[in-house]
Amino acid sequence: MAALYVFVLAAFLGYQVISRVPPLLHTPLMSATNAISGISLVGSIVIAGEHHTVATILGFIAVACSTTNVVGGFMLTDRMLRMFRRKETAVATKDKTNASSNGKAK
Amino acid sequence: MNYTQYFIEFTYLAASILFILGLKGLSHPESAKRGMHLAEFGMLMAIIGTLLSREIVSYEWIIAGLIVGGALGGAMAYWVPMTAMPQRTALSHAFGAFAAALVGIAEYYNYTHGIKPVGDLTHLKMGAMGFEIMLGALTTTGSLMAFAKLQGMVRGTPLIYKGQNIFNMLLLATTVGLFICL
Repeated sequence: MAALYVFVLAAFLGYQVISRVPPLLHTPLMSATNAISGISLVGSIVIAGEHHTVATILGFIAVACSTTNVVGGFMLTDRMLRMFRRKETAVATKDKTNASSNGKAK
Repeated sequence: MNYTQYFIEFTYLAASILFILGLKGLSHPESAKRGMHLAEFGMLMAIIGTLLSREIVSYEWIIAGLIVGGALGGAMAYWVPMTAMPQRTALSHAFGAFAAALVGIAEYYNYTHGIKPVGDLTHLKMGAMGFEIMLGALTTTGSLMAFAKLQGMVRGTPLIYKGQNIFNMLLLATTVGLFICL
């Protein structure tokens, strides 16, 4: 039952946190949440570590898949944000009127 | 509870907090990078915590899986062109969902084949596992379709045939029915 409480509260929290993200950051956010959803890696590790043939084989595939998800997701987010940063500084130097959103970039 | 278990619980708690802070960080351009690093660190903590879990008896397959997955994910992230980003996220999503479905199946197998006591399988647990497998499988195929469409492998126009809605509803009813039967 406690798990159900956690689930419902987490749903609300997720909504609250995500609803404030500007459209500008939607793509990196999608990628990052994709990486975080790779937390199923934790369950996969437990399954793969048990010493039973079927569970271990399924677990091995699951570990490989979710690691792909985690590593790929975070690396991609990093790549996106790096590109984004460069674009943002370029905008900052070009357009000084938009100072509120990139105060640190100056 | 001994100290190791306390440590494991602590790593999970820390990981959850770091994930939330990470997502919050992603809501502003200046803190986006830091947010991502927080989430990465949280994931690392969760993995370390799980590796210490006492249910794990052998590490060979875990390490093999981590290496294969890491190499695959790294290669995909490194060489995929920036323009193909949405497709790649869809594909990556399919991988994650597939893993979740497999975990559910393996867990169910453990209970039905006497590896874990069947008495431990409560209705709530069964329900959670059923949803895990159902949604995992649904997300896998859905994400693969999204990938194929974005990549241009499948026509973007919706596929419509006679009685499609009835068929879809029947399919959904069968899935839910099977789930309740189990």
